[in-house]
Order: sequence, then structure tokens, then C-alpha cells
Amino acid sequence: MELSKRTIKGLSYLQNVNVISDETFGKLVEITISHVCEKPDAISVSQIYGSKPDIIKAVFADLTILLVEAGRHSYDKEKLSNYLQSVQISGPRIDKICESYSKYRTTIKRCLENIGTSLPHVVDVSWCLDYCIKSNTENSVGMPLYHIRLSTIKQSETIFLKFTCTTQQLQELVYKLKDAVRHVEKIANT
Amino acid sequence: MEEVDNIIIHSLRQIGCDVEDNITNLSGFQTELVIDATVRCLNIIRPGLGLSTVLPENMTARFRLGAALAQACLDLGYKGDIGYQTFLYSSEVDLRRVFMFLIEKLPKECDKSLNEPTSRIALLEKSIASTVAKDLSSSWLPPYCHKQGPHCRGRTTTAYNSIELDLPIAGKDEDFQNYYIHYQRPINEQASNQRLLPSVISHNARLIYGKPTDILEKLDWLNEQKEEFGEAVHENQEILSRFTLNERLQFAKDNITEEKSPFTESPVKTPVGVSLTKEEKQELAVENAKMECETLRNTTEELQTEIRKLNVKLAQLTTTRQAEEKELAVRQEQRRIKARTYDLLPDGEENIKKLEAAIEAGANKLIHLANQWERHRGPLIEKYRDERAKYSSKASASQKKVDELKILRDREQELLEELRNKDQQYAQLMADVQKLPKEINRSAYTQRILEIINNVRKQRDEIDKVLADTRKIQKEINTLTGRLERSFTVVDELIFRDARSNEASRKAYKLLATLHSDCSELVDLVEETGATIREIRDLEEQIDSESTKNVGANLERITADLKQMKQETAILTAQLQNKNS
Repeated sequence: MELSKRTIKGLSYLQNVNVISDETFGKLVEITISHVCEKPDAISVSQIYGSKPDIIKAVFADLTILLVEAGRHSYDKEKLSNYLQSVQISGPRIDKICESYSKYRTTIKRCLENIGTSLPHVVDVSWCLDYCIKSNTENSVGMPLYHIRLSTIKQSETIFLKFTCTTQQLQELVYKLKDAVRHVEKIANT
Repeated sequence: MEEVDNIIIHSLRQIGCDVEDNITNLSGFQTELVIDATVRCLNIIRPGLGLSTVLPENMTARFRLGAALAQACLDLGYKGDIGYQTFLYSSEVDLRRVFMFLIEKLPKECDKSLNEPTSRIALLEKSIASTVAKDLSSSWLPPYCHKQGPHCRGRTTTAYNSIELDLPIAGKDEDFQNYYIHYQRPINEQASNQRLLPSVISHNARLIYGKPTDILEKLDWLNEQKEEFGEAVHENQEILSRFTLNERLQFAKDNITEEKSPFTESPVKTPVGVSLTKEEKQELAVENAKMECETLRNTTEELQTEIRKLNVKLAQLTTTRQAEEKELAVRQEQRRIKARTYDLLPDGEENIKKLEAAIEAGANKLIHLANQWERHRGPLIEKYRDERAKYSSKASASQKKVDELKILRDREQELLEELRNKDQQYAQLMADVQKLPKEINRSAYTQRILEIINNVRKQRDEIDKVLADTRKIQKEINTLTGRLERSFTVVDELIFRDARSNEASRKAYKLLATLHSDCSELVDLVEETGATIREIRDLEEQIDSESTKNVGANLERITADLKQMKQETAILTAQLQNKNS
């Protein structure tokens, strides 16, 4: 994990009791976590501005950055506090932040997992076997045909992928799939 | 042999053999179990042999499997006598030897854990492997059951859309502060809910790795660098504001030119329209107003340029005025001096003398003052030098301390890093320990091994004792035979000398000869009995070892198998004939 100097400087404001009171601090952490977990609740940041809105805004942003980055690197509580110590930020308030982070760690990670671009996921397959008797070019074809429908999910949207293939083509596909499975198993075993 | 069997069975259970609990030694192993255990061992030692763990029904297939197993063992370097019979018609001793060999060849787990790498890439690969393995082991679920967990991993629901966040930057001037305090919105309002996290990630990345692209950002960046060195940078900010001004002016001009283009067409349009509806009138009015605006703007611009010109002229005029005023002052001064001289001119001699005296007095006073100044200055300079020396020594000491502090900081950093690494290693090792099978038997085994070693030592001592005894007896026998030889020759010579003259001596000599030969015969006989007894013991051992191979039972099984094979052959030939006919 890496944070810029500006963010670290902003986080060091959190230690200052004169700038941010205990009550404001608790609310700030709560609000930040609720926003990172994508569950914004009733309290908005503007209600805790007090006399220093610019600092509260900056600290709110820096705290958000810290939590998001920690979640991105899958840090646990220990690792996070170690990191903060290594950039010379420590104290009872930081411990509190680490505690809240470890409490919401899985939620933050899940929220982050949901973001991004990915290839469609194949989740299901349905098929049926047809027998082609005749076609306009051939009097007797006599060939089995597989109709395959793959259900894929992309951005929580189900997309169906339909195609028709002969037995040989299907066999080739199955071999390729088996090959892929073998590769994955090889990765799992190393 | 009990211990060896226990160890073998324990090892076989560890590699996944289904050895039943009531089997305590190798004599209880059935043929199926023997084949199963051997194939498992071979698969672990050399994966990819492709042998089946199930004993086939068919006799020939069984024979082939046995032969393949024997060949695999020989390939691994087994030195003893081995063949299909070792597995199919097993004798306990042979089996024990084979299993001991195979289990020794099994790869040790401690080897693996010892050279486990701890580098970052290796850890990443390991975590990938464990995640993939976990995913592979999870069962398939229909898609409508996917809510959370491993099935959804890697499946995103929102695209990565980020916007640039606007955050307060410390050390800006008052206008910026004012903006930050009153108008800037918090980041959650700048970016909507789904865009917040991507924007935050992008923002952080930009803060860390971002390089300025346009000139404003570059200037900002430069300013920041200077701030870090603790220097004031007001000038640059002015430059910055001038840049923004320029840019704004440029934009404004662009807007004007863009706006101009539609107006140039409008006058052409108006005469074409014959009847002016209300709307058109309105439009015309608007256009007129626009035209007016345009002209007004043009006039404003002209006026502005004029003002600028006038300003320039004004500046020029002020500078000339200032120069002339200066000249005037110089002239006035000259005039004053000249007037004075004219005043003094009437009685020149007197006045010259007075002036000289005044000059003298002034010079004297000056010297006096200089002396006084020197007197005051000397000690002060001394003091100043002292203070300076003190200060520099203090500064150097503090510099030293700062350096020391820096070194200590670095050290602390290093130690922290090391601590983290150690923690990581510790955690990994703990995980490894938990992964290892819980071997409760280990202490029992070591105790047993120690006991066995003690027994062996005792037995060796006894053997040594017996050997020493034998050697002693051998020595005694040798000395006795030597003495016998010597006394016999002495007696032989004595009696032989007397035998010519004395009849009794002759008889005695004869008797001596027979006695000697009889005694040697007796000794020979005793030795022979010993050899025979030894031979008998050997033979008995051989008989024992042969009987452990339970040849009888095996022979019965072999004949039964032979019979089965014959039957199978007969059935096959019958089938063949049936087909042919």
C-alpha cells in the first residue's frame, strides 16, 4: 500500500484534538465507513463541519482513501496499524480506525470486488440434440446437431450465448475445456 | 518385527491406504490390500505410472499387474529378489522388505517445508494456488443461487467509472481558502455513490504516480517542490495568476469569434423575409440588440486600447517629470553653494583662516571620535567572535545529534521491516504447523526406537563378551596343543633312546604311539561333531525361513489360479469355436 504525502499529512490532523473533537472524530469515522461500504446513512458530512469545514472535508477524503486502499490490498488490522506506524502516524484514534476497519473489512472488500470490468462469466449451460435429415443442398444429411446455450453474467446482467455445432466441433470444444481445466488444476497444485 | 510393521502400517495410512484397525502386522495383509498399498506408494514416488489400485478379476490381468509392479520397484532401485509372485503370492518377509524400501523412498514432508520460499512473488503464487484450489473444490450451484461468496468472485456489478476529485490543498492563498470553506463540496457529493470508490482509487494513484501534463499543473507541481524545501514562492503564484488571466482572455476571444460567425449571416437574411411576423420581429429586435451589443463591445474595446495607450503616455510623462525635478534639485544646491561663496568673498583672508581653523577642529574631532569608536568596537567584536564560535560549535553538535537521530530512525525503520518479515514468516510457519498432521505416535516411536537401540547395544555387548571368551578358549587350546606337541616329542626321544636297550621301554614307546594317535582321533571326532551341530543349526534356520514362506498354501493358490486360467482359456476357445462354426 502506498499513500501520497498529502494524504499522510491530512491523516495526521486526526491526532489533533484541537482541530477535531472526539465526538466529531467518531461521527467522521462512522460516515466514512458508511460511504465506503456504499450504505450512506442519514448523517451527512456537512452536519459535522463545525468551525473548520475545509479540514473536515480534507480529512474525510483522506480517511476514505486510507480505507479504500487498505481494503484494496486486503490488509488486516495488524498490517494496517504497522503501515501507519511506518509513516509515523499512531495513537489511540488510529487504533480506533484500525478496529473499525477490521470490523468492516469484508464489506469493504466486497464493495471493491464489485467494481471493475470483467469478461462475462459462464454460469450455466443448456443443450439439446437435433437430428438433421435433409437440407436444401443435400437430400439426406443424416447428421446430429447440438444446440447449445451458455448463460453468461456480465455486470449482473444475464446474456445468453447460443450456437449450433456438429459432434466433432462439440468434441473439440470439450477437449479445449478439459485442457483449460487441466491448466487451472496445475496452477492450483503448484 | 512388531515395531517395523507398525511403522509401515502407519505410513500406509498416512498416504491414504484403507488399512483396517484390526490388522496389526503384515501377515494380515490380503492380496488386494498389498496391491493397493504398493500402487499408492509408487504413485506418490513417481506420479504418472497409471496403475490401477483395484485388483482385476481376470488372472492374466492380475499377473500383468504384478509384473508391472515388480518392474516399477526394480526401476526404483530395489536390490532384492522380486517378481509378480511377491505381490500375488506374498510371503511376509519379502513384503516387509519391499514395503520398507518403498516407504523409505517416499518423499519427506519436512523436505518440502524447509525450502519454502518467502519472497513476494512466491507468496502471491501460493495465495493464487490456494484460492484456485478452493474455487475448484466448491460445488456447482445454479446461477439463481449465487448471492455471495466464492461463486460471485471476480464478477463485477458496476463498471469502473471515475471522475476527478477536487480536494483542498494546503498552503493556497486566501481566495482558495474561501472556496474550500464555503463552496467546495465533500467528495461523496462530488462523485455519486457508485463512482465514489473508483474515483478515490484513481485520485490516490494520481497523487502518488501522477505527472503534470499541462503548464498549470506543472507550475503547481514546481510550487509544491519549493514548498517542500521551505521557500517562499509568492512570485510564482503571481505568474500563475497571470497565466490564468492570459488563458481566460484567450477563451474570451475564442467565444467572441464564435459568436461573431452567426451574426455575419444575419443581415443577409433580413431583406429576404417579406412579411415580418411577430416572432420574426422579435428575432429582429434580438438581433438588433445583439448588434448593438457587438458595436458597444467593439467601442469598449477600442476605448480600452486607447486607455492603455494613454496610460503608457502618462507613465512616460511621469518619468520625464521626475528626471527634470531631480535636475532642478541639483541646480538649486549648486546655486546655494555659490551664493554662500559670494557672501564670504569680501574679506577673504580672514574667512579663509576661520575656515581652516574650523576644518582643523573638525578633523581633530573626527580623529577623537574614531579613537573612541575603536575603543568601543574592539571588545564588542571580540565578544561577537566568541559568540559566533560558540554558536557554530553548538550548531555542529546539534547537527551531529540530528544525524544520529536520522540514523536511529533508519535503524528503527529497518527493524520494523525485519519485524514484519519475521511476523510474516512466523504466521506462515504457524499455518504450516497447523497443516501438518497431528502425529501423536511420534514420541512413542522415538521411545521405541531408543529402546531398540538400547537392546541392540546390550546384545552387541553380549556378543562381544562371547567372542572374547571364544578367543580365550582358542588361545588356551593352542597353548595346550603346543605343550602337548613339545612334551610328546621330548618323551618320544627319551623312550626311543632307551628302546634299543630296554624291552619295557620298547613296549612303552609302542603304547605311547597308540595313545597319541587315539587321542588325536578323539580330538578330530570332537571337532567334527561341532561342525555337524553347526550344520544342523543352519539347516534348521533354512527350514524355518522356508516354512514362513508358507509354500504349501501358496502352492495351493497357484494351482487354483492355474485351474482358473485353464478354465478361462477353455471358455475362450469354446467361444472362438462357436464363432468359427
